[in-house]
This record gives sequence, structure tokens and C-alpha cells, in this order.
Amino acid sequence: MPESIMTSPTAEPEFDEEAASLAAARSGDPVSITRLYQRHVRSVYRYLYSQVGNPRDAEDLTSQTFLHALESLPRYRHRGRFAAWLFTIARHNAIDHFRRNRRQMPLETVTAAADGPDPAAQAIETHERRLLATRLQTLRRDERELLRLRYVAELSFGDIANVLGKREDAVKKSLYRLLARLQDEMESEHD
Amino acid sequence: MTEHAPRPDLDSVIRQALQTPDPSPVFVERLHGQLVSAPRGRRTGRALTLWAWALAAVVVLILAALFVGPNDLVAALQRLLGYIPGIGMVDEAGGLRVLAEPVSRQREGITVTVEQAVLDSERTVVVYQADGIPHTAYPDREDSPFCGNDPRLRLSDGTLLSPGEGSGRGWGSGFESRMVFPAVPAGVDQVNFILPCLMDTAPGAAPEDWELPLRFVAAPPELTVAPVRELTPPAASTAPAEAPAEMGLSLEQVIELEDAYILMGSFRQGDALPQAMVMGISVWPEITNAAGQTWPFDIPDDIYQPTGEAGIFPWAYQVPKGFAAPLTITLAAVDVEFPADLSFSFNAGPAPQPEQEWTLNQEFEIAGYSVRLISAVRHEGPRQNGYEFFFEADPEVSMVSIEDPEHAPAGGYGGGSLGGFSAGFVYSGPVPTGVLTFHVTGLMAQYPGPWTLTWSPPGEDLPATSVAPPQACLTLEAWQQALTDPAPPPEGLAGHLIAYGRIVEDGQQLSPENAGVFVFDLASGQRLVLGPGTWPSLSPDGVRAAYAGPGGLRVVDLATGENRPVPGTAPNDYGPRWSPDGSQLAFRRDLNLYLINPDGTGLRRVTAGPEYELLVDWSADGSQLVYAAPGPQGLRLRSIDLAGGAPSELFVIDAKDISAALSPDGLQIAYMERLPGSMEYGLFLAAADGSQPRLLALFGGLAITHPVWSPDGEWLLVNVTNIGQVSPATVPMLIDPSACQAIPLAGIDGTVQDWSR
Repeated sequence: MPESIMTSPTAEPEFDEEAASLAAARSGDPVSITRLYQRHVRSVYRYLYSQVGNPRDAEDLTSQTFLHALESLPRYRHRGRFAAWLFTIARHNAIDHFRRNRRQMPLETVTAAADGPDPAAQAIETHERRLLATRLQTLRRDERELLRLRYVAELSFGDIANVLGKREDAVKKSLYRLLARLQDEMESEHD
Repeated sequence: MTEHAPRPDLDSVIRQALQTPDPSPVFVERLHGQLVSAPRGRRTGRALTLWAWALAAVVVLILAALFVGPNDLVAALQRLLGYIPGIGMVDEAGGLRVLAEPVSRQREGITVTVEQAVLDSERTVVVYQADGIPHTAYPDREDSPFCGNDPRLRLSDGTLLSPGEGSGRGWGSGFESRMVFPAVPAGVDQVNFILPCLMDTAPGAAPEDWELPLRFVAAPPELTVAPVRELTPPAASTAPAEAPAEMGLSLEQVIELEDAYILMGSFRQGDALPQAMVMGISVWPEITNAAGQTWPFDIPDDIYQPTGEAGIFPWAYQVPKGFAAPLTITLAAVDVEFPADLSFSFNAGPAPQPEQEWTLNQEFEIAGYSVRLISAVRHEGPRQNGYEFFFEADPEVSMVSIEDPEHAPAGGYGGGSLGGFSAGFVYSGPVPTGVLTFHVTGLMAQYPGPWTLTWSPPGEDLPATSVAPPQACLTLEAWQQALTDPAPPPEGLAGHLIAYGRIVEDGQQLSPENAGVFVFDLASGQRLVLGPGTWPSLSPDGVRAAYAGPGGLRVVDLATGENRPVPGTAPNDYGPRWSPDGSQLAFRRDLNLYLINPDGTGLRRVTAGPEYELLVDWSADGSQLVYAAPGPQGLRLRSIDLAGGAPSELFVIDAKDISAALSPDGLQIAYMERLPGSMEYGLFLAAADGSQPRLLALFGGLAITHPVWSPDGEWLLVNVTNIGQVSPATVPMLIDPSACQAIPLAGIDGTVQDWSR
């Protein structure tokens, strides 16, 4: 196909492709909706699975998260942190889920009470991993949430800060302190 | 506590301890289909609490059977369960109560109204609406918190009832929600509706702590409750000869409304395929009337049926009356997972390199399906540190499940389409090397039907008075035929198209990294790439282009190639449209419409509504802008005189997103709208005031977007996207509205958004 390329005489700022996708998705462009969906569906699902521990509820909450996000897109104003916004919705949905179902599955026992084989337990083969898994069960809710957002959702510190409504440096400091504490506790158990 | 750096490997140990599975490809594809095709404004039900409701219903049924005996159960059921549109299922056994009168509160221009409530012995359904919310009440940064608190019902003794499920829809300045609370005790006729904050608004940005007193009274006799009729035995589908007879659709309950029926049933695996499991329905069913014509259907959003039992999938479809009976429901295929137990190995060598590829060409047979492992690729990076395997298979196969039993991958992924897909592992530590063995544990395939189920309304065994379903002049079949045997583009077709699509030939799927804006010369087939960006528009004389690019709007002189930013525009300005005389650009900024001259002078705001406003086009004489604003009934099409004055209402389009174009003479409008009583969207052509609408194209599961007119108004061009695919491809289609002819335009590889001389 014959093709020519025009170059711009002015310096190009970096193209915010997510903003472009969001702009097109707002008007129902299926390609852009697909693009945003593909980019985030797996991490949203994994994050919600880590909260509820079974695929049925994780699928239900993932559906709610994306449908809510799509419904709310007309009101969303992009400033560069779409993932944080999406995970805020996911987090709200998870909190709602536990509030509504606290009789069935208290938050404190979610990981232990997962339906079916515990995926974490399958992976923990070494003594050290078993120690860590035990430690994770004893963490405070906010500490576990921090680990989930970082290691399951794989969000940046900036996005985590947005989801949790904290400053980025405070998030970093909290995570490093938590990791250091886990490390100390594991080493002391080794000793 | 010391703040020393944690051990480097602690990260990977935590990742392993927290590892979670990936979603199933079937779920990912299904949700994707829901997002790109289902009408907006629906919220899924919340499963667990609905389980409680379903369980309660089962208990009621069992008790009913014990007390009245199975023979009378049908009659008992008819007495017990009813349905109220917009409310859902109700149990009439203990009597119903309703809201005595709607209750409203207005604060700072925002109105909250509890419109409706229905109470039975099991639950309390409350429908409320909020409207008039200014856009400034919503967070302007995504890092800001927003309201996600549900309303409560507070009883006089202080008891708070929280909702268990809900559905709703939203528009630019408000929303309506249907919330389902536990039962309000009999004898309690006054409660307070507590709304801590308005959904999605920023804390403190809109009035909070709403409290509306509700009063309940016995349901008046005129309250219409449609009975839920059990079919005994359920109507069962016929299965194809080669499929197990016990597997198929059954129709179990029917609700008759004034203008529609709600059909409720399930797909059951039965004892068929004992080693395999039906995972869901692959495709939407087709419903046809006695003449074999497609009959529209919708999914009622106030009926939720949890998928509780393995191998049983409930469904509910609402079909408008007026069809010639019998009605036939046809289900083409279901997704089935077959177990597998085999292994494959390959030698990655001692030091596999990033993006190194191994040709494997290993063949398997699983449950009668052929699968070929084509290759393996080593990936590197925090999210893909591992191996990806590429497969080809029979066209029914959507995935295989593989495991790495010898190592502990931190995660896995997979995807693709029928007959071609990949699956991979991510390792948190060093990637395994040498001879590696992987275990294949399952295969997912579309198990073909079709299963067909016929049903006639009581007393309508013979064809009744029939209302013809909406017939489009262009159908999916016509489009598929046009794709298979494309007619040549019409002689003399000329001008320039501007499109968003692939601008970098990198062999990858279309993505933001390789997409941008380009101009396509219809006469020569030459493409002119303008650069990364979106929302392109051409000046009517074809001399200049405008689009939303990096940093703001950009204008390109197509003759000289000069590409310059429009001063005074910002990164989130988009959707520029040239005025008919080429002197101005109308565009979107935040929620409203603005004008600017191409040199950056003359910036002014045109609209100031609280809703999200979507620009359609300039009027033919350039004196007005036509735009759409979301409202409770759909998109309100409006025009605003640029000389000043209030906007004029044109007509309402039943859609959530605008996809419309005014003809060059301003006399016609082409637009996408939802078909009444259906989930499908069709392309309509109407007079500019919305009168005399004509259904031009109805393409089933394919999306039609961005209609544009040829400069002479003779042709309409739309973009057709197969949204059934995870990686949808878009083909522009020329339509001759007078001859009802469709011609695909090959070689464009993008979404056309404007056409000029």
C-alpha cells in the first residue's frame, strides 16, 4: 500500500494513548473498550480473587467493576490514573460484597476459607513460604490490602496511593516497613 | 523499627504466596461481549445475597409441596410468586405493601425521589432517583475518593437494613437505582430512607446525609402483579441427532405482561458428557417467530437467576407480544471443558534468551479434538517473565489448560480465539531452563447444538395476528454475502477519508502503540499518516485535517504537510469538527462543547449543561451545533444557535452513546438506536427532526459505528466491527440508502470518521 508519513515540525509531547482510548470508549467505540478491558481484566480479576477466594464471586465482582466503570465513563475525567480509578471501583465492590455477606464469609477468614483448592497453598512448597503464608494471615486488613494492590494487582505506588487515598511516599514507606517486618519475623522464626 | 531494604527475594516469595489464578477465557470473552454489546445502564445482580433469595424461594416451594402436595404445587406457585415490572419477583402469600406516595427532597438544586417501594414477607424493593447533580460534584481526579455507599432503611427502633442486591442506570446528571433490602417487619409501616451520599460524587461536593421518611400501605387492588406460571412438565428442546438427548434447553416458567412475555428456563447438561462439564452458553440464542423471522428479545434486569448447580445455566428472556406462534429459541453451542491428562516437553537449553522461539510442532488429540503445539517463546519482564506456548486446534477449540508441575509459576495467562490461542506461565524467580515438561489438564471447546425449543402462548397454538418484526433493508446475511463476494467500489467514488487505525505495521494486533490518524485517498488508495492521535475530522474542502493528538488538538495542512498544535487547547480536548466554511473547529472539553479558530484564537464555550455533551455535527449553514446529552430516556438530541439562546430539543435516541451524522444538506440524520424491546442496535435513517425513521441496517452481534456521509450526500459510510472477537477487526462499509446496497471498503484498516472532497 503506498504510504507517506508527515512529520510534525514541533516537538511532540508523549502521546497519552490511554486518554485516547478513554475518549473513544466514552462514545462507545468497541475497539477502545476492548483495548481498555483487555489491559485490565486479568489484574482486576486476580485482585478480586485474592479478596474473595473463589472464582464465582471473583467473576461476579469483576463483572460489576467493569460494568460500573463503563457506566461511569461519561462522568470520569482522565488525569492519567485510570487503573487507580478502576481499582477503586473494584475495591468498593469487594468491600460492599463483604459487608453484605459478612455472615457467610468474614473478611478475616477469606483467604483461609477459599472454595476449592487454595491456590496459594498449592504454590507454597518450602518451609519459608509456609511461614510467610501464616504470617500473611495474621496481617491487619490494611496491610494485606497493600500487599494485594502491589503484588496481585501489580499497581504502581502512585496508583496504590490513589486507590487508598494516601500520599505516594507514605505508601512506599508503609510497604517497605511491612516487608522489613515480615522479613524480621521470618528470620526470627528461622532462628 | 528499622527501615532497611527488604531482602531482594522477599518480593518473589510474597508474589508466590499471594498468587491467584487467571480468569477463565470463557468468562473473559463473555464479559467482553457484555461490555461491548449489551445496552448500558445495567448493573449485574449481586450473587450471594440473591442466593439467599433463591434459597428462600426453594424453601418456600418445599414447604408448599409438603403442605399442599405436589399435584397442587402448580396452583400454589401461581398464588405465591408474582412479578412486577421494575420491581422483580414478589411473594404475594403474606400480602404486599407499597409506598403510600413518592417522597422527594431537594437540596442545592439536586432532587432525590423515592419513587416506588414494594414490600413482601421476604424483601423490600425500593426504587429511587437522583437528578440535577452538577458535574462539578464528581471527582475531577481519579485519585479522589468518591461515594460508594449504599442507602439504608432505618426502622423506628434504630435497626438499619442494608441492600443485598440492586440494579440501576445512570445518565449525565443523575441516576436511578432499584435496591433490594431485607423484609421490613409486618406492622412497621414507617421507615426512613437514609442516603449517606450520592453515588460516585466526591465527598463534600454535593449534599450528603439525605433522609426521606417513607410510609407504607397495603397494596391497592389495582396493583398489577403478573403471575409466574410453571410449565409442567417444562418444555424441552430438541437436540441434534449426534448430541446427547438429555442435554438441552428447558422452558420452566412464563410471565405474561401486558405487552410481552418473560420466558424463564435453563440449559441442562444432564448426565451427558460425564467426564466433561458445560461451562456456559457460547453465543446469544436466536428467537424466531412462526415464519422463521428473527424476533427481538431483551434480558430483564430485575430478574436474577444465580448459576448455582454445576452444569445448569438459567436464563430469562423478555419477548414482545405480537409474534406469530410458535416462538422458537435456538441455541447454537455451549462451552464444554474436557479433561486431559498428557504432557509435552521441550528443551529450553541452558540459557534461553529473551524472545527466543522454539518450533515445537507437537500434536495431541483430546476428547476427539486435534491440537497442535506450534511453538514456545521466552518472554522477559516483570509481568511476563516466562514461557508462552502457541497452539492451533480444530476450529471449535478455544483453549487448553496447562500446568507446570515441576516449578511453581507465579501466574499464568492465556487467550486467543477459536482454533488459535496461546497460554503461558510467569515465574517470579529465575525462569526454568533445560528440558521442561508441562502437563495438559483440559481443553475447552464449543460443543455444537443447535438445541431448539418451541413455545406457544396459551390459546395461541395456531398462528395469531402477527406484527411484522422490524425488517432492516440491510441484514447480517447481506453483509456477510457482501464480504464474501464484494462488489467493486462504485465508479467515480472520490474524496478523502480520515480514519483512526493502524499507522505502524508491526505485525501486532491493533493497539495504542501502533494506532493513530491517517488520511485515505479513495481515488488512488494512498494513505497519508498524520501521527498518533484520535478523533480526526476533515475540513469540507478537504484541505485540512484536525484531530486530538498529543498535548491537544492539532491541525494539518494536507497540501504542505504542516502539522501544528492548536494553541490554547489541552491534552483532554477532543472530537474536533470543522465548520462548513472551514473557519472554526467545534470540540469537546470536559463535559461541554467549545469553539476555536484553527490558529487558536476565538476560544469560547458554547454549552454549559451539567450533562456530558456529545457533539454530532454542525448544521449545514454553520449557524448551529447539533449535539446529544444523556437523559433518563436515552440521548436527548439538541441544537444550539451559536448566536446565543437556549438549546432546542430535537428528539430522543434510545442509546447510551451517540453514533450519528447529519447529511450534508442537513435534511437527514443517520444514527444508531436500540430496537424497541430488543438488545440489538440498528442503523436508522430519519428526517432531521427524527420523523419517518427507517431501519437501514441490523447486523446482529456486529457493531456499526461512526456513520459519515459522502460530500454529495449520496453515500453513507459506517464502520462494522465484529465485537464477538476479543481482537475485533473493523471494516468500513459503503451504503447506498436508496438502493439498499452494501459495499465493503477493503484496505483501510481503521475506523473512518470523516469524508470530504
